[in-house]
Amino acid sequence: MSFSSLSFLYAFLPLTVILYYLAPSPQWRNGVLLFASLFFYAWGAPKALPLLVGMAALVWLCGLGSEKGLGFCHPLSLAFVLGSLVLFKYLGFFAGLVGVKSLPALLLPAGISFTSFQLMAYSIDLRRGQIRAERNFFRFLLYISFFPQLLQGPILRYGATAPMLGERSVMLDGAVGGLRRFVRGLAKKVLIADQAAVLASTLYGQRTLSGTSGLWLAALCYGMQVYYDFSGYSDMAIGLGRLFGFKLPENFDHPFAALSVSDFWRRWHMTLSRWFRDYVYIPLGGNRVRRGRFALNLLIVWALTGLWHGASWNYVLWGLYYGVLLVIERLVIGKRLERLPVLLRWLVTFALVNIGWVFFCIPDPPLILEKLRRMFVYMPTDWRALLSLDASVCSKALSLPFALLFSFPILKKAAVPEKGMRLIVLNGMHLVLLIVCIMFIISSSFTPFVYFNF
Amino acid sequence: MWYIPEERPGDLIKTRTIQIVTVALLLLFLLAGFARTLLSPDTEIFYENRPANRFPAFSASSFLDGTWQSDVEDAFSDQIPAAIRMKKLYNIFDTRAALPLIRLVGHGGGYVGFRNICFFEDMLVVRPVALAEKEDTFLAAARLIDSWQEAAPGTEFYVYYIETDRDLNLETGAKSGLYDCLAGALALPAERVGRLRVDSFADYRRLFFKTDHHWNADGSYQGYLDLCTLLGITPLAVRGQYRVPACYHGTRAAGVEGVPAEDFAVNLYDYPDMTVTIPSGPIPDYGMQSLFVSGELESVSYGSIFGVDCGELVFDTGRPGKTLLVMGDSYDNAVVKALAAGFSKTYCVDLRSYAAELGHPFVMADYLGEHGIDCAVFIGGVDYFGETLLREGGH
Repeated sequence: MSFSSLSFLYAFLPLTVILYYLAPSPQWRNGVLLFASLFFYAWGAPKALPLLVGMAALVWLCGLGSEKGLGFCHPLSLAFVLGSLVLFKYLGFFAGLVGVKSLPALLLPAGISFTSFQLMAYSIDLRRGQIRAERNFFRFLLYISFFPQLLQGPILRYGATAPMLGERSVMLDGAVGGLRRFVRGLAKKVLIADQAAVLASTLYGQRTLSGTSGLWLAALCYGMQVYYDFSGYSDMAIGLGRLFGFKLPENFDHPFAALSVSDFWRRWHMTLSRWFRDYVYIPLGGNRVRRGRFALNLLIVWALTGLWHGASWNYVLWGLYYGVLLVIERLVIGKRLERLPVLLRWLVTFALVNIGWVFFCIPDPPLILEKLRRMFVYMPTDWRALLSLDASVCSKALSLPFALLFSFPILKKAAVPEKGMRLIVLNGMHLVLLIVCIMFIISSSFTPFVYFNF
Repeated sequence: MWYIPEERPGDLIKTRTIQIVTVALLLLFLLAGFARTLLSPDTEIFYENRPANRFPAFSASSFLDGTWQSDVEDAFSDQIPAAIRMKKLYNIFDTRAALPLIRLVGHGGGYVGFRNICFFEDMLVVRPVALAEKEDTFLAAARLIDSWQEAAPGTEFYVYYIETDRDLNLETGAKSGLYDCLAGALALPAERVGRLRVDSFADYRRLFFKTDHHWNADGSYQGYLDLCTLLGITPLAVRGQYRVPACYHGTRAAGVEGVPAEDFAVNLYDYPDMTVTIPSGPIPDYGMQSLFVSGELESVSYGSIFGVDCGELVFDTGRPGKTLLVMGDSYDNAVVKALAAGFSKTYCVDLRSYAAELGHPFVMADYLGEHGIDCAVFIGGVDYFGETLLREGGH
């Protein structure tokens, strides 16, 4: 189920909230959340639900065994989770590498990349003695399947989440603040990301019409689409978490305001970056190694980061692109970067990030090269022909200035005290924003019959 | 469970009240949508000219394959309060945002796409179909008609092809050649094959509505005259045209807000007395041309004036003469009654709904034999010969 679906907004969300707050005890409240989370998952992927529960059960059992000193439990747990991830997500990709072309198509369970990373983190943290094993399977299952973060993160660590799985208090202001955050996230997704997506696909879809300016604009639109889609989802997840008394970690911090590539990755998908830092980069030796090894560590981490995003070469290339940029930034440019004017640093970073989206968006490597060539070797864009394909892109283009504006932390600075009339206006604005989002969601179902039943 | 932060008592109560009212309003708003979808759904979406999606019955299999979930989503999108108003508002926003670009890019002629249609000067059109796209199906349609003619030598088969904006590039004047493909492939005598000829944008503008894919009064009259020549009957005399200015938005204008309404005209024929029967039984008349002419028709649409699509229509003039079978789609709605005046009995079959309304598939040989058909005429455009005829008629 998607947060931006009407089924979620009109049925799942209000019913879950009401049942949650009517529940008489923390156990019941957890029960409501667990049931809601499993139903939420089953709604979109009913056949994958047993896999989710099965993975959680095995890791939970292994965790208990590991704590009792059974040495095989930790490797078994990791092998099972990693094996499931490879089997369902990467089998086709790896088989293609060794020349096997015809494999049966396996169902890709929704959110498996996030779930498996949480499960692995639990297992490793337990092994390192950083956490204690969860005794109650249902609480563990809730940690894994908690619906706000189940499909697209943020990636939770058990250590930080465990206290909230027991008794938790919900402040009224926190709950309303959570709802407001949810609405803002929904607006990011529906009013900006979905609109930018149409622009990007229009510009990328026309191979002959889009020249240099068209492809730079396409990369910008695509970047805005990915950012507002993903950060919108994270906002919705964090908002929903607050509604139920959970404090989920932040996942984005205005990455397009970054002044270097390292800065960009400190602000983009922060929970994933931290996961790779803690479980891959540091175990490889991190930066406390010789320069060559340091560069290799970075490239390994970024190739894996790319691969995590999808089982396709373009994601690996995207990851390696950032790996190379980070190596150059850390080992070649170093502190000299900070001496450059801020505007220049921002412009260079912004341009590099936008070039990166070409790898992310286009699955076919030769086509990536063609697009990049067109971006750097001037070719005119036939704007008249492009715009005459579908003038409805105009309304979508209206989202772009807002996308650019809100990619900087302007609202952080505009925060006002939430009291009295200001609070009424603030809450009222969010209710109106929700209705506008619903209007946009509903508009996609406009399907007049042109040739029948006059 | 609730933790209330310390604050001055008056402020605290005020803040709490605002927050509680906000949450209550939000939940009520959402639950009202849920309750309406579940308990009091609409049956029709007039704005979109289709039946409304309603909350589906649950079954384990439909849940497992995901169809139940998508049907629930469809039901919400049609049934929540103000759904139609919201769609309309969005369409106004979408169209208004696009109009400056349409004027700018479309200035001096040329197609400007807008969703699934195009603006071309002041008309809503679609882009032409390439011959390669439809050639195979047109050849197959020709073979099907020839096979029917061969199996029924006692019936004379005719074909009347309606060229539209899909047969002509309005920018360049290049034609797709679909008619030539069809006519060249048919084994019927050349004098039994004809077309509504559209060779230029001026022809198209004269013969078709601005906001609808159908032919207008002039187009359907031209078609009627061509068909009379083809079938060898004398056309009815026309007393003139009744025209209501700026009253009509065709189906291509659905969702394109702000497009001016256009005129709707009907040709005034002196129809002879005839009975009309549809699958459910006799009806007083087919279409509501007389109500339109007397000014009593509240809403104007092609279907309401010329008659809605129907699996089988039977016109009986009670006069001696031949029996005609008209095979077609909604285009023939505007001419079938006038054509029927020239025959003893006229059967009109729309394959798109025949099986559903009659309860059995259409079988040409059986139908011709059962009703003693003397002449059978196929009337349609690219959709009919390129899709409907093969999909529904090949039994």
